[in-house]
Amino acid sequence: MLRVSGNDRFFRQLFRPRLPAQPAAEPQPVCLCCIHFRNDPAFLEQAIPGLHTLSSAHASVRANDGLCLKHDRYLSAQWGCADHCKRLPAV
Amino acid sequence: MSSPAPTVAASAPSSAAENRSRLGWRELWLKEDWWAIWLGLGLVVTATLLFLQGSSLKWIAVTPAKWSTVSQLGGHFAANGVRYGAQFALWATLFSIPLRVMGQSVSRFIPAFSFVYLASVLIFALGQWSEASRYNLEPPLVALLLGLTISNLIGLPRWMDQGFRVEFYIKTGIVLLGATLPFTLIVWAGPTAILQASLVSIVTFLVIFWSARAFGLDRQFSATLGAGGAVCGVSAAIAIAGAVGARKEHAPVAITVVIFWAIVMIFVLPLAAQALHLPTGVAGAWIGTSEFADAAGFAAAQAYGDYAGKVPGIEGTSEQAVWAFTLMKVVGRDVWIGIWAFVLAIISTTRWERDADGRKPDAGQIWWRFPKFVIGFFATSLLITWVASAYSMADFGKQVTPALVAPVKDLRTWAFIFCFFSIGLTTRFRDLTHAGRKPFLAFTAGVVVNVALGYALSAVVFADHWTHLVKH
Repeated sequence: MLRVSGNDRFFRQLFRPRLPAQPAAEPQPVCLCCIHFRNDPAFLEQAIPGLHTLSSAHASVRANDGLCLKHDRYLSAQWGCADHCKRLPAV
Repeated sequence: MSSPAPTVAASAPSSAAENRSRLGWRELWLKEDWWAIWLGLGLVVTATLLFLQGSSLKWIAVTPAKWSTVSQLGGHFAANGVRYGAQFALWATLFSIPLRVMGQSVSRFIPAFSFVYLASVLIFALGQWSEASRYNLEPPLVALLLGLTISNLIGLPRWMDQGFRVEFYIKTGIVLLGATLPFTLIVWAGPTAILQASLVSIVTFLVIFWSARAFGLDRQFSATLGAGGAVCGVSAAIAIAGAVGARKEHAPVAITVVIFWAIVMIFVLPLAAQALHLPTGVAGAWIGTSEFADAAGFAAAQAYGDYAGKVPGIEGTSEQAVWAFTLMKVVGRDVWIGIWAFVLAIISTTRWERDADGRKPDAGQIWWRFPKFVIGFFATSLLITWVASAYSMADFGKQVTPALVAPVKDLRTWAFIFCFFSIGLTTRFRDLTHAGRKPFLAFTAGVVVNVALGYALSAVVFADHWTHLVKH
């Protein structure tokens, strides 16, 4: 059996299927649906100087990441937090 | 930070919102990597079909001919004006459709691209001058310097940036490049490239990361800087910034430092390789190990390749420099960005932000962040290798190369020149974020180690492998 000690969180992430399931946390909505999150390519290329000089906001490597204007972080669209503020659908 | 730090949502994977946060099939038409595949593969398939029917893409793949007097050059353009017009229409159409689908303005792209195309014709023609090598007028370097001069000393309206799509042009060019690189060579040389590139990438990352930490920079910022130097430049910096959740202001700083060193290396690496009389294959491998961005690296590798046969003491062919670079940079470094992102995301959530409960880095990002244009590169290589398998070496040289491979190579050269000129046009030094001394010094430590280690591996340890690349 795989023994994990001090680095158990690292190994749980890496070998998640082999380890006992973690207790399910409360579901949180993801950043993509948050009013504070912006990830449209045109906005990102303007907000991040140099991004389109030797790369592009349309590149696969960016996945669907974007800027959180609430926390001033550049992060994955799959993140979420207690400050989530649902974006209303366009009318 | 007064408000709680964001975490990865702990919702079930089946959550509709989470599913929407992944592009899924929409990536096929919303990401330029896939569009580069559709364009490049489409051109190669068309070229192959025409070839199999006894025709060729040659007519539209026109390039300036060698010239020594202005009247010769004028005569060439007078005789081939219609072909250039058709080629411009082809490129403009091929690029406009994807850009429109990806949400860009075609009405702005067309005039900006017209400017790029016209300048590219002049740059290409200058490179064909019989005295060009005497004055170091290699098209990649001329394109870059002209672009830098225009953007930094003269200035162009911002809306024209719509036509300066550096990444789109280089990715399309790389897919076309696959058609000129035998798949057997990729299989033979790929493992060495991966080994060499992995060694240098890991060492470079660790040097930058620990230097940045020693300067007191935070871990996410240090990782963003490290990936920018170790993997694929600006693209890696932005991918890792997203994977680890870097502060908003850190990604632009990392990008500034990467751009600075990438531009410097475009000029320094070919000059250093020339001074050391490195064969083109060895220089290509070194540039592939020690340049920080694909577009910048192709400029350096192609410029050095152009020295072959013109500058005394430089062995090899122009293609060897580009092939070695591609194997090292694209196959050896770029394709691993998803794994870097996944591992760093795990480290970030388990070590650096232990209070971020519920964050679950998804192994799926290894695929989401995979630079998909590489698939097109392999596909075009496989296709042409399959076509070539029906011919003897002699027949391949006599029939396949002039009617099929050469026109694709010419189209690739055009795509690269659009890219090199666009690098210069989009590098506005005054717009870049002030990097600060500490990030700059940390990154520079990585540059020094990277260049020395890259040289040792390319020119000493694997010198024979890279020198004789084409002979295998």
